Amino acid sequence: MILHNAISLDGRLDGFNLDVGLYYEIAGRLGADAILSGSNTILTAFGVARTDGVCIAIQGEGLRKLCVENPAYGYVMMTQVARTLRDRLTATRIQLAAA
Amino acid sequence: MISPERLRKQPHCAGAPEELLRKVAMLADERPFRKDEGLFEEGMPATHLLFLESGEVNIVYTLGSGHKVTVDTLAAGDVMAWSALLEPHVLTASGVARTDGVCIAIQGEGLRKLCVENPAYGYVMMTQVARTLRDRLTATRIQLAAA
Repeated sequence: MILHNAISLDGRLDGFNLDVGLYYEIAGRLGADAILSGSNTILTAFGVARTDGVCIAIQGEGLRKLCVENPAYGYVMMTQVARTLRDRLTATRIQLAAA
Repeated sequence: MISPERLRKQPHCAGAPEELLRKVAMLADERPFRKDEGLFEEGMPATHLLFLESGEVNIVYTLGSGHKVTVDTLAAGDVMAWSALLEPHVLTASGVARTDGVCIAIQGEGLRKLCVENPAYGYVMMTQVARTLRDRLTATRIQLAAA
Protein backbone atom coordinates (compact mmCIF):
# COMPACT_ATOMS: atom_id res chain seq x y z
CA MET A 1 0.00 0.00 0.00
CA ILE A 2 1.13 3.54 -0.70
CA LEU A 3 1.10 5.74 2.37
CA HIS A 4 2.46 9.27 2.81
CA ASN A 5 5.35 9.03 0.43
CA ALA A 6 5.45 10.57 -3.03
CA ILE A 7 1.74 9.91 -3.38
CA SER A 8 -0.68 9.40 -0.53
CA LEU A 9 -3.74 7.17 -0.45
CA ASP A 10 -6.00 10.15 0.03
CA GLY A 11 -4.55 11.89 -3.01
CA ARG A 12 -2.73 14.58 -1.03
CA LEU A 13 0.85 15.49 -1.81
CA ASP A 14 3.16 16.97 0.81
CA GLY A 15 6.49 18.51 -0.13
CA PHE A 16 6.62 16.98 -3.61
CA ASN A 17 6.07 18.34 -7.08
CA LEU A 18 2.77 17.21 -8.57
CA ASP A 19 3.20 14.47 -11.18
CA VAL A 20 -0.35 13.70 -12.35
CA GLY A 21 0.80 11.07 -14.86
CA LEU A 22 2.67 9.12 -12.18
CA TYR A 23 -0.25 9.47 -9.75
CA TYR A 24 -2.76 7.92 -12.14
CA GLU A 25 -0.30 5.31 -13.33
CA ILE A 26 0.07 4.05 -9.75
CA ALA A 27 -3.58 4.57 -8.77
CA GLY A 28 -4.62 2.66 -11.89
CA ARG A 29 -2.79 -0.43 -10.65
CA LEU A 30 -5.00 -0.69 -7.58
CA GLY A 31 -8.07 -2.91 -7.75
CA ALA A 32 -11.55 -1.53 -8.26
CA ASP A 33 -12.68 -2.78 -4.87
CA ALA A 34 -10.16 -0.55 -3.15
CA ILE A 35 -12.00 2.50 -4.39
CA LEU A 36 -15.69 1.77 -4.69
CA SER A 37 -16.35 -0.93 -2.14
CA GLY A 38 -13.28 -1.45 0.03
CA SER A 39 -12.83 -0.21 3.57
CA ASN A 40 -10.05 2.10 2.37
CA THR A 41 -11.01 4.55 -0.33
CA ILE A 42 -8.81 6.56 -2.63
CA LEU A 43 -9.79 10.04 -3.69
CA THR A 44 -9.19 10.53 -7.38
CA ALA A 45 -9.18 14.32 -7.36
CA PHE A 46 -8.62 17.37 -5.20
CA GLY A 47 -11.52 19.46 -3.97
CA VAL A 48 -10.80 23.15 -3.37
CA ALA A 49 -13.49 25.54 -2.12
CA ARG A 50 -14.34 28.18 -4.69
CA THR A 51 -16.60 30.01 -2.23
CA ASP A 52 -17.57 29.73 1.44
CA GLY A 53 -20.08 26.94 1.96
CA VAL A 54 -21.13 23.85 3.87
CA CYS A 55 -20.98 20.19 2.94
CA ILE A 56 -22.36 17.12 4.67
CA ALA A 57 -19.86 14.28 5.21
CA ILE A 58 -21.22 10.73 5.49
CA GLN A 59 -18.98 7.91 6.74
CA GLY A 60 -18.17 5.80 3.68
CA GLU A 61 -17.89 2.43 5.36
CA GLY A 62 -21.22 2.78 7.17
CA LEU A 63 -22.89 4.13 4.04
CA ARG A 64 -21.71 1.18 1.94
CA LYS A 65 -23.10 -1.17 4.59
CA LEU A 66 -26.45 0.66 4.54
CA CYS A 67 -26.55 0.39 0.74
CA VAL A 68 -26.14 -3.39 0.91
CA GLU A 69 -28.71 -3.74 3.69
CA ASN A 70 -31.18 -1.44 1.91
CA PRO A 71 -30.64 -2.15 -1.77
CA ALA A 72 -33.44 0.17 -2.94
CA TYR A 73 -31.52 3.02 -1.32
CA GLY A 74 -28.21 1.57 -2.57
CA TYR A 75 -29.50 1.50 -6.12
CA VAL A 76 -30.55 5.16 -5.99
CA MET A 77 -27.27 6.14 -4.30
CA MET A 78 -25.10 4.24 -6.80
CA THR A 79 -27.08 5.67 -9.72
CA GLN A 80 -26.29 9.13 -8.36
CA VAL A 81 -22.60 8.18 -8.05
CA ALA A 82 -22.63 6.95 -11.64
CA ARG A 83 -24.24 10.22 -12.82
CA THR A 84 -21.55 12.21 -11.00
CA LEU A 85 -18.83 10.10 -12.62
CA ARG A 86 -20.48 10.55 -16.01
CA ASP A 87 -20.47 14.34 -15.55
CA ARG A 88 -16.83 14.25 -14.38
CA LEU A 89 -15.91 12.16 -17.41
CA THR A 90 -17.66 14.61 -19.74
CA ALA A 91 -15.78 17.54 -18.18
CA THR A 92 -12.43 15.73 -18.44
CA ARG A 93 -13.12 14.88 -22.04
CA ILE A 94 -13.77 18.56 -22.83
CA GLN A 95 -10.38 19.33 -21.27
CA LEU A 96 -8.78 16.63 -23.42
CA ALA A 97 -10.36 18.09 -26.56
CA ALA A 98 -9.01 21.53 -25.66
CA ALA A 99 -5.48 20.30 -24.80
CA MET B 1 -32.00 -15.25 -25.49
CA ILE B 2 -28.82 -16.77 -24.10
CA SER B 3 -28.19 -19.36 -21.40
CA PRO B 4 -28.47 -17.90 -17.87
CA GLU B 5 -25.26 -19.80 -17.06
CA ARG B 6 -23.31 -17.50 -19.37
CA LEU B 7 -24.53 -14.53 -17.39
CA ARG B 8 -23.53 -16.09 -14.10
CA LYS B 9 -19.86 -15.78 -15.14
CA GLN B 10 -20.23 -11.98 -15.37
CA PRO B 11 -19.27 -9.95 -12.29
CA HIS B 12 -22.61 -8.10 -12.17
CA CYS B 13 -24.53 -11.37 -11.85
CA ALA B 14 -22.58 -12.77 -8.89
CA GLY B 15 -25.10 -14.13 -6.40
CA ALA B 16 -28.16 -13.22 -8.47
CA PRO B 17 -31.15 -15.56 -8.00
CA GLU B 18 -31.80 -18.07 -10.80
CA GLU B 19 -35.23 -16.62 -11.61
CA LEU B 20 -33.76 -13.15 -12.05
CA LEU B 21 -30.93 -14.45 -14.22
CA ARG B 22 -33.52 -16.10 -16.47
CA LYS B 23 -35.28 -12.74 -16.89
CA VAL B 24 -32.00 -11.02 -17.75
CA ALA B 25 -31.09 -13.84 -20.14
CA MET B 26 -34.39 -13.29 -21.97
CA LEU B 27 -33.24 -9.73 -22.68
CA ALA B 28 -29.82 -10.86 -23.88
CA ASP B 29 -28.34 -11.86 -27.22
CA GLU B 30 -24.91 -13.02 -28.29
CA ARG B 31 -23.01 -10.74 -30.69
CA PRO B 32 -19.84 -12.19 -32.23
CA PHE B 33 -17.52 -9.62 -33.80
CA ARG B 34 -14.44 -9.45 -35.99
CA LYS B 35 -11.21 -7.50 -35.57
CA ASP B 36 -11.59 -3.82 -36.61
CA GLU B 37 -15.40 -4.04 -36.58
CA GLY B 38 -17.28 -1.09 -35.07
CA LEU B 39 -19.47 -2.36 -32.21
CA PHE B 40 -21.12 0.91 -31.26
CA GLU B 41 -20.81 4.52 -32.28
CA GLU B 42 -20.56 7.72 -30.31
CA GLY B 43 -23.69 9.89 -30.50
CA MET B 44 -26.04 7.01 -31.29
CA PRO B 45 -28.85 5.90 -28.91
CA ALA B 46 -27.61 3.45 -26.27
CA THR B 47 -30.21 0.72 -26.67
CA HIS B 48 -28.15 -2.17 -25.22
CA LEU B 49 -25.69 -2.69 -22.41
CA LEU B 50 -22.78 -4.82 -23.63
CA PHE B 51 -20.66 -7.30 -21.71
CA LEU B 52 -17.43 -8.37 -23.32
CA GLU B 53 -17.25 -12.15 -23.08
CA SER B 54 -14.09 -12.66 -25.12
CA GLY B 55 -11.71 -10.59 -27.24
CA GLU B 56 -10.57 -6.98 -26.82
CA VAL B 57 -12.30 -3.72 -27.71
CA ASN B 58 -10.82 -0.22 -28.02
CA ILE B 59 -12.83 2.68 -26.62
CA VAL B 60 -12.39 5.63 -28.96
CA TYR B 61 -13.25 9.31 -28.51
CA THR B 62 -13.64 11.62 -31.47
CA LEU B 63 -12.30 15.04 -30.50
CA GLY B 64 -13.69 18.31 -31.87
CA SER B 65 -10.98 18.41 -34.55
CA GLY B 66 -12.13 15.01 -35.80
CA HIS B 67 -9.00 13.43 -34.34
CA LYS B 68 -9.70 10.02 -32.78
CA VAL B 69 -8.14 9.02 -29.47
CA THR B 70 -8.15 5.52 -28.03
CA VAL B 71 -8.61 6.06 -24.31
CA ASP B 72 -9.00 2.49 -23.11
CA THR B 73 -8.80 -1.13 -24.20
CA LEU B 74 -11.37 -3.48 -22.68
CA ALA B 75 -10.94 -7.19 -22.03
CA ALA B 76 -13.26 -10.09 -21.19
CA GLY B 77 -15.59 -9.30 -18.27
CA ASP B 78 -15.65 -5.54 -18.94
CA VAL B 79 -18.84 -3.50 -19.44
CA MET B 80 -19.44 -1.44 -22.59
CA ALA B 81 -22.13 1.03 -23.63
CA TRP B 82 -22.96 1.91 -20.00
CA SER B 83 -25.08 4.80 -21.33
CA ALA B 84 -27.87 2.24 -21.73
CA LEU B 85 -28.37 2.50 -17.96
CA LEU B 86 -27.86 6.24 -17.52
CA GLU B 87 -29.94 8.96 -19.11
CA PRO B 88 -29.94 10.49 -21.68
CA HIS B 89 -29.06 6.99 -23.07
CA VAL B 90 -26.76 8.32 -25.77
CA LEU B 91 -23.39 6.66 -26.41
CA THR B 92 -20.44 8.86 -25.36
CA ALA B 93 -17.71 6.85 -27.13
CA SER B 94 -17.22 4.40 -29.96
CA GLY B 95 -16.17 0.79 -29.54
CA VAL B 96 -13.88 -0.80 -32.14
CA ALA B 97 -12.86 -4.46 -31.99
CA ARG B 98 -9.13 -4.90 -31.42
CA THR B 99 -9.45 -8.66 -31.89
CA ASP B 100 -12.14 -11.16 -32.82
CA GLY B 101 -14.48 -11.83 -29.91
CA VAL B 102 -17.98 -12.14 -28.55
CA CYS B 103 -20.10 -9.79 -26.46
CA ILE B 104 -23.46 -10.19 -24.77
CA ALA B 105 -25.99 -7.45 -25.54
CA ILE B 106 -28.77 -6.80 -23.00
CA GLN B 107 -31.77 -4.65 -23.91
CA GLY B 108 -31.37 -1.42 -21.96
CA GLU B 109 -35.03 -0.58 -21.36
CA GLY B 110 -35.90 -4.03 -20.01
CA LEU B 111 -32.76 -4.12 -17.89
CA ARG B 112 -33.56 -0.75 -16.32
CA LYS B 113 -37.01 -2.03 -15.42
CA LEU B 114 -35.51 -5.19 -13.86
CA CYS B 115 -33.10 -3.06 -11.82
CA VAL B 116 -35.97 -1.01 -10.37
CA GLU B 117 -38.05 -4.13 -9.63
CA ASN B 118 -35.04 -5.94 -8.10
CA PRO B 119 -33.03 -3.20 -6.39
CA ALA B 120 -30.45 -5.62 -4.95
CA TYR B 121 -29.56 -6.58 -8.52
CA GLY B 122 -29.84 -2.94 -9.60
CA TYR B 123 -27.40 -1.94 -6.89
CA VAL B 124 -24.82 -4.51 -8.03
CA MET B 125 -25.36 -3.59 -11.68
CA MET B 126 -25.04 0.15 -11.07
CA THR B 127 -21.92 -0.41 -8.94
CA GLN B 128 -20.44 -2.22 -11.93
CA VAL B 129 -21.36 0.71 -14.19
CA ALA B 130 -19.82 3.16 -11.69
CA ARG B 131 -16.58 1.12 -11.66
CA THR B 132 -16.52 1.22 -15.44
CA LEU B 133 -17.00 4.98 -15.38
CA ARG B 134 -14.31 5.37 -12.74
CA ASP B 135 -11.84 3.38 -14.88
CA ARG B 136 -12.79 5.38 -17.99
CA LEU B 137 -12.28 8.63 -16.08
CA THR B 138 -8.83 7.49 -14.92
CA ALA B 139 -7.88 6.46 -18.47
CA THR B 140 -9.07 9.80 -19.87
CA ARG B 141 -7.11 11.70 -17.23
CA ILE B 142 -3.96 9.79 -18.18
CA GLN B 143 -4.54 10.86 -21.79
CA LEU B 144 -5.05 14.44 -20.60
CA ALA B 145 -1.81 14.35 -18.58
CA ALA B 146 0.04 13.08 -21.65
CA ALA B 147 -1.49 15.65 -24.05
